[in-house]
Amino acid sequence: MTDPILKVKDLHKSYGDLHVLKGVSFEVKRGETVVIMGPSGSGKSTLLRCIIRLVEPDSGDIWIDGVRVTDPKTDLIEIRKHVGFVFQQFNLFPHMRVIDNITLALTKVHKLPEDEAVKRALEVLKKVGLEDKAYAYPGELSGGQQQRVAIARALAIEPKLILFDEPTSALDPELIGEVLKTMEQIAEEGKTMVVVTHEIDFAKEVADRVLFIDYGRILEEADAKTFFSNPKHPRLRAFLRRLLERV
Amino acid sequence: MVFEWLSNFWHWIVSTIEFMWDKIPFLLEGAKLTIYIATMAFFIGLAIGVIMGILRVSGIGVLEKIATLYVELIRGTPLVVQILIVYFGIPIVTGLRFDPILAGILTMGLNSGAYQAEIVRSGIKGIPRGQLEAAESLGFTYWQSMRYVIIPQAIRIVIPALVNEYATILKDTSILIIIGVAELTRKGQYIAAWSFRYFEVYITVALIYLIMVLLISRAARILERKLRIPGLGVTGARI
Repeated sequence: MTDPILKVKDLHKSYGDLHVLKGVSFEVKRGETVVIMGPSGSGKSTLLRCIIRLVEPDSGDIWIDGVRVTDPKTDLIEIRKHVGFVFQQFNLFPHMRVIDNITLALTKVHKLPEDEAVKRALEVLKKVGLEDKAYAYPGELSGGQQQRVAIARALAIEPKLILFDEPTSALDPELIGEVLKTMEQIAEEGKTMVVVTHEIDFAKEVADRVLFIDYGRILEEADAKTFFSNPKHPRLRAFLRRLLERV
Repeated sequence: MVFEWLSNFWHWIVSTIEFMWDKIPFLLEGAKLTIYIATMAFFIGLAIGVIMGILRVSGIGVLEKIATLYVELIRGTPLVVQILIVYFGIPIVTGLRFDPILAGILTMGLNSGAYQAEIVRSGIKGIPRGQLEAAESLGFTYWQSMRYVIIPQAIRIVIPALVNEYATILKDTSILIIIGVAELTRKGQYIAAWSFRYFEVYITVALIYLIMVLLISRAARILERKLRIPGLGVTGARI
């Protein structure tokens, strides 16, 4: 299967006068990890949200596994059932224990029987190293642990594709590592991932390809090595310089 | 001088207690009816409030307008007038006659529904946007997201406001006196009318209301503690 699992074509989105996405096109192949970088306000989060239509794009097309997401007749639930989304703010459900956070969608959306859902929840929790926290509330966990639970929740639906929206930006520096490690491990298992992040090391080591987005357009696209060692677009060069200075 | 005044006051207290003592069971009967009406009205109001509260944030134009109209109609008119309409007005138009207690419960329930709708709405608005986004990203419909994710959190947040509403209803039942419901205030009025000891009687009635309200807020604090979830509540989620 060499066909792209995700295909985005000429995507546009405006908020009022603000033209956030001005014709974004790219593809992601099965099993690939693609990192999207870019200055804040460049439309990265909007782009990810458009992919599962949490935000409605103004024009352009998106296909996931051959299904046209942007077709008004497409069943959005059916699309979202097979795409995981990990948020910057984790967005765990604070009134539910960790395990219920994971099983809720499995039983209510995927219609799995309760015992099977619990079994699968424990499996994914084990994968992110938090099976001992299954019966804790999100509020009892550190930010890093919460984000790993959020990743487990996304994994549990056995998605064809997982979207990460700056998964480490809301974390204290000392907690970033554990989350990146979990993501790296998932990438190694061959999951298809699209990751918006500022973490250069993660991009260098894990990404197959890196996209640079600014002013609502993709300005550069290259394999991870070329992207960092030989950036072509002047805006990307300036961006990378700023990122490196920060470290 | 001061001593004389104190002594008179003491005598008055004693005679009041002596007079009121055997009337207390009679008043408590009224208090029981007061609690019954308030509780029924509260839960009718809660059911209406949850539905109307959700409709008001549903983004579905027609439903939103209906819910808004309901809330504004109820909040814009006096409770006494609403009771008079239900008890005296509706039977004339429809031939449907409620007994006073039922009329009281229905009116106060409908009335409280409007206030509780506003409470529920504020609770829903208080839930971070990311919660709905996360639920929808997992494939929940809007209504499933409301049911499993938003409402359970919103209700917890607004428990203090709901308890406050319950106490308000409890006190407001006293105006059912105008349609002759034998609740606490009416019972007091009855005693006062033949004894002419208005002051003593109504002070006692007031004290019984006060005790009930204090008990409610105490019970509410226990309920809040029981329903408390780490990281959720007034202090907000810890990140």
